Amino acid sequence: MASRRTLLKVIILGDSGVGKTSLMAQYVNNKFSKQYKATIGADFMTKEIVIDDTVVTLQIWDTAGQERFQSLGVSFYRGADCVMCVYDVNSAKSFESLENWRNEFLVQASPSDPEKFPVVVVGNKIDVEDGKDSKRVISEKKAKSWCTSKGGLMHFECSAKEDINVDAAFEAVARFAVQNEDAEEDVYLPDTVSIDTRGAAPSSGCC
Amino acid sequence: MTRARDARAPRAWTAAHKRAREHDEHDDWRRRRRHVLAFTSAGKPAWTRYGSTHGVSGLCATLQALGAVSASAMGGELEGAEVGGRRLARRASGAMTYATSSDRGESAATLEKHLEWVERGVKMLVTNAGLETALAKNAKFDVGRALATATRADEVLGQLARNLSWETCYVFDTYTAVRVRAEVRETVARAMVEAMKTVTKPFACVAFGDDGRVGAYAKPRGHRPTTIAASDLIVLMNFLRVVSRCEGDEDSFTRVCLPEFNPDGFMRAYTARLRARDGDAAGDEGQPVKSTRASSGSIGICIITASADAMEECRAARDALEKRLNDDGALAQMVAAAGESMSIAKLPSEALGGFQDASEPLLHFVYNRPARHQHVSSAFSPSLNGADVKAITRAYASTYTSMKETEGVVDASGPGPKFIGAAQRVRYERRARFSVLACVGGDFEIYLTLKPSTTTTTAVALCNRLCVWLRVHEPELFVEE
Repeated sequence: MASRRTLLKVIILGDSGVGKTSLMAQYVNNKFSKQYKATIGADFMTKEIVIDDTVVTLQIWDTAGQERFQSLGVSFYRGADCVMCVYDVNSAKSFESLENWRNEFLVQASPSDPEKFPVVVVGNKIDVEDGKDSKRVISEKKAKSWCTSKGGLMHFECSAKEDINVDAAFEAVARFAVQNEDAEEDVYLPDTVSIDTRGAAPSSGCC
Repeated sequence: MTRARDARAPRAWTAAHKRAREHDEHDDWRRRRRHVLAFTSAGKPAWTRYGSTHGVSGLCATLQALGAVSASAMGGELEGAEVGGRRLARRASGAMTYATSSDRGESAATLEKHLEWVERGVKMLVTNAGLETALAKNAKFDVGRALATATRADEVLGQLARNLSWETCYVFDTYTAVRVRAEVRETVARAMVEAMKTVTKPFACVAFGDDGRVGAYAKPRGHRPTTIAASDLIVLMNFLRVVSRCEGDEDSFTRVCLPEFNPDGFMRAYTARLRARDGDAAGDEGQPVKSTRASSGSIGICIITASADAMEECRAARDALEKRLNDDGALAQMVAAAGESMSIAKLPSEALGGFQDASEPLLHFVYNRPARHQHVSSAFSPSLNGADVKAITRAYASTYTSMKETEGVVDASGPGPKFIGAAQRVRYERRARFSVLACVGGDFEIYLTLKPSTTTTTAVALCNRLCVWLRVHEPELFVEE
């Protein structure tokens, strides 16, 4: 039985249209919509899972990939416990943007140890078959190689549409963050005892 | 002495009221009429009035994001909104944000004020430094976990959130005192000063009734400031009532911060009961009253010290104080006074000038003295129910706000403001179930709730007579600061 509870803020980043919202909807609600609707600002969902002896509430921040919403980054990224960087395996541009998304996040969120901050890379839309309009352009090998070059980032290939590997990716994010949380020194509240800071009178006449 | 629970008084907030299984997508949760939330600037929940903190994390994230979007798009934080008959107020303060929503018709100003009180309540439990320092070092910091280490945080904040709807302290920003003879209060205060002499780093000592009225308080001689800020005393009273109720006959020694005095430091609050001897209260054996209820025959006492090791000293001081006050009979008188509320029906005829006849136009009144940091709040008329009391409290809040906004001479007739003197402003508002007469003078404010049929002339005459009586009896109504 789980003995403790924790809440993790998970940020999903990536170019517009890579399937961030679909991944979240598939993971939380087991639903997929073929209709594309751009996220305005951000969308939020929560899901409770158990990792070893910990009940984990994932507070998932699905951010907008469009350029015009990126000024909101600082306020959205603050206090994040982990980040999921998503690209479309059929879009080279979305893969190339990963570097920027990751860097931007690390700059704006300023985690205490950027090298160890939990980042998981997810290649979405592996269900799309090669055809006239689409063709897989980012191989798993290429993506893994890039992740290795960035200090060994975790990598998953998923399909939000076919529900392939989605749970595994989110659970890996959660596990990674829980481990990181354990490793981080907690900040304890000060037990300050202060009585004289507002000018207590001289001791004469005082008890 | 036992008293049946008064339907016109706020019930004690217990863990069961929280409905910890509810979450923000739960129909029952959504039906609750007033929600209060506290969360960090990362959008992580710290406390919620209803449901579990994790269960409202989606809503907290949304509210935090709305604030960020508002700041980005309009250059300012979102402070409020109104959707579907429900008003939302949001207060960003440092690394924390507080939010409340209500469908009870409070004004935006009233809800914002409620959030200020909730913020004080949170700071009392964990200190401002605790919040700001912890979140500055680590934006992921879980304030909810920090609150969980504070003494009865859920009950304290839950009770505070409930009392915001019921109690006039949170409307007028002044505290209430037990009505007792001035000599008795003075005797108790003197004994408190003596008792504190044996305690290391004493800050203050407060005697209080179960309803949160202050019986007496004392500070060590020579200390500055010589008084406790009213806002500190109000949140302290809320804290002490909860601790005292939960601990029963047991004493306790807990961390507490007085945000107005020093928002960054903890002190220790020793809380216990002072029991009046039977003999003094009922003419019996001279033994401390044995009771099944902690409150029967006793009042609460709190000694605040800056020493974390002073519990035994406080315990000894409490014993000495109880003995001394029992020896001179003051404790029994204070206990008896703390058990009495100011019933309008029991006021002497000169207080109401013959107006309070069988028709009983006066349902409730508040006499506020901002310079004394205190007010008198009468008992509510037995004809009122709990919903009426809350409606009257909301009416006071809106009238109080509008009286503060009213400048200069105001119109002289009708339901609007009425000018009756150089230093006074009067407003008479007729509502469906009651009317409110408000009069603000140079150094006092009085608010009367009357039956809606009461004429303006009767209301003003009654108000004038009551004011005179209250002014004359101030020594027994207020703590001398």
